[in-house]
Amino acid sequence: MSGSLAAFQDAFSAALMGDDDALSATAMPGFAVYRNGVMRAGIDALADNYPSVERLVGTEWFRAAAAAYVAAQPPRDPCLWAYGDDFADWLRALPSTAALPYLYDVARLDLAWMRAFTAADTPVLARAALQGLPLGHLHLAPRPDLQWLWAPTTPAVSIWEANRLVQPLPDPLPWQAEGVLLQRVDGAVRWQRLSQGGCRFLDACAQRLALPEAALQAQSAEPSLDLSQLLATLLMAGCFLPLDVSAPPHPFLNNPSKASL
Amino acid sequence: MELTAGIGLKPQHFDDALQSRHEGLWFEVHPENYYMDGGPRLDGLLEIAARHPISLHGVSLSLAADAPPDPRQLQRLVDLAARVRPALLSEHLAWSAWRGHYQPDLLPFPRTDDALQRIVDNVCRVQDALGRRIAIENPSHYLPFEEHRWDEIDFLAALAERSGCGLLLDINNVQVSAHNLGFDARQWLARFPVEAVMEIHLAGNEADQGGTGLLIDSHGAPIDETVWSLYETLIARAGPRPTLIERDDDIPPFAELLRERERAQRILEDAQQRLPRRAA
Repeated sequence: MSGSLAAFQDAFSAALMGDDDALSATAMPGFAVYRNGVMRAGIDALADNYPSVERLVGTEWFRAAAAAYVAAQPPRDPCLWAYGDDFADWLRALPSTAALPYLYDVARLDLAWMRAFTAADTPVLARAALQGLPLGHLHLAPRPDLQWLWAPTTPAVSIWEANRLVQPLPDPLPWQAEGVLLQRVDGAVRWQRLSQGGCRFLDACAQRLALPEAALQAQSAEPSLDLSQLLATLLMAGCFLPLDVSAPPHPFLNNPSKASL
Repeated sequence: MELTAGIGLKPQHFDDALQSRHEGLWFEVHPENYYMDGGPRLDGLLEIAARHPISLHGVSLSLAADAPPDPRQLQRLVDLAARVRPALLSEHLAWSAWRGHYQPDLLPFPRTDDALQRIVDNVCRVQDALGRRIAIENPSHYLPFEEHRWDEIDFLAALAERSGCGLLLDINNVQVSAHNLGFDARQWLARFPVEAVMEIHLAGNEADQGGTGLLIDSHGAPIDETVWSLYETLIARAGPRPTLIERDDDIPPFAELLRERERAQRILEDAQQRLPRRAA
C-alpha cells in the first residue's frame, strides 16, 4: 500500500460507516449516494435471502431491522446471495422479536432453502448399494444440498411454508413442534416433514458418526421412532452420498462448530 | 460470431434467453452472482452459454483499491470463465473491497500517479490470471475531488496503454457524471479514445428522490433519449462496437429489453454499412 490511496480508502470506508469527520466530502449530497447505495445493497440482499421473514414481519419493519444488521455486520464477501448467514441469531437477540418465538426458525429455514439451492450437484447413494453390507461401521453422509430443521416449541415449519409459498396459514394451526427436510430435486428446492428422531439422525450422520451411533441418538430423541422406516424414507428420497464419495464438512444448520449455536 | 447488441441477463429471463434465436444476441452477467457450488442458477447460465455468447462483467475485484485483487475472488472468476468461456470480460475503474470488508458499490478515488500505477498493476494481475485482455469501465461520478491530478479520459487512456487493457465505455455513466459534476458529455465523448473501446453500455438513470438535483445511475429505467443521441454520435465516429442494454432494477419483460436492443442493433447496422465506403 502506497500511502495516500490507502489513507483515502480508510477515510472513505470510515465515512461510509457513519463517521462524518473522516472525509470532508461527507458534507456533499453526492456522498449520500454512496452511503445509501452500500446500505441499500445490503438490505436488498437480506430481503432476497430471507423472503419469508420479510413477509412475516412486514417490509417496513424488515428493512429497519436489516439496516441495523448491515451496520453491525457489513458484508465481507461479494457473493451477496450468501450474505447474512447469522441473521436468524441476530434477529433472535432483538428484544422486539420476543413476541415472535417462531421467527428464529423461520429465518433458519430461509437460510436452509438458499443453501439447498446453491449446493454442489452430487451423485446419490442407491438403496441397492447397502444390500448385504455389514451395517456396524457404515457411515451415511448427507448430500450437500440436504438441509433439515427441528423446531422444538413452535409450528415454525408451517408458518415458514405458508409465507414461502405466499399462502394463508393453516386454520386452525396446531401449536406444536415440527421438523422438515429440504433438498434439491430436478433443480428445485423441495421439502417434506421429518420427525424429531429423523432430524437427530441426520445431525449425527453429518457429524460423521457411524450408523449404530446415529440410530441410538435418533431413538433417544424419539423413543417411538421406526428406524427402518426412517432409513427407507431417506434412502428413497436420495439423501445420501455414495459410500465411496468423500464429502467436505456438511453445512447443516445445527453444526456445533458454529459459535452461534 | 461478431458481437452486436446484447442484453444484461437476469434469472427471471433465463427461459426467454434460451428460446431466443436473434442473430448475434449475447448476454452479460455479474460473475459474482454465479460463484455458487451448483444449482439451477449456475446450470441456467451454462445452458445459455452453450447457445449465446456471454460477457462476464465483474463488480468486486476492487481494482482501484490500494491492494492487489483478493486471490480467492480472482480464482473464482478464473474458474467461472473456464466454464462459461466468455466472449468478453470486464471490470470497473472503482473499488469496493477494502481491509476485509466488501462495500457493495463502485466507489471513487482521487486520480493520482500512485493510483494509476496501482490500477495498472492490478489490471495486469487480472489479465495474467485470465490469460486475456479485459475491458475497464468508466464509473458514474457524484463527488468532485480536489485531489485529482489526472483528467479522467487521460487516466483511462494511460491505463489502457500501460496495462494493455481495453475500455468499456458506459454512455449513461458519462451523462450522469456530466450532469453531476457539470461538464459537457458530448465534448467529453468527442475526446474518448474509441480505438480502445471493446464494449459499450447503455442504461437508464433517475433524478435523486432526495431533491439534491443529482442524477443517479439506477439501471432501473428505460435508456434516456439523451443517451441514445450520444450513442449514435459515438458510433458514427467509432464504428460498431458490442453494445449492452443494461438493466439491474425494476426489471421489465424480456420483450421490452429486446426492443431497446433492436434500436441499438439498427444503429450498429447503419454504422456497419458505412464502414466499407469509409474504407474505400
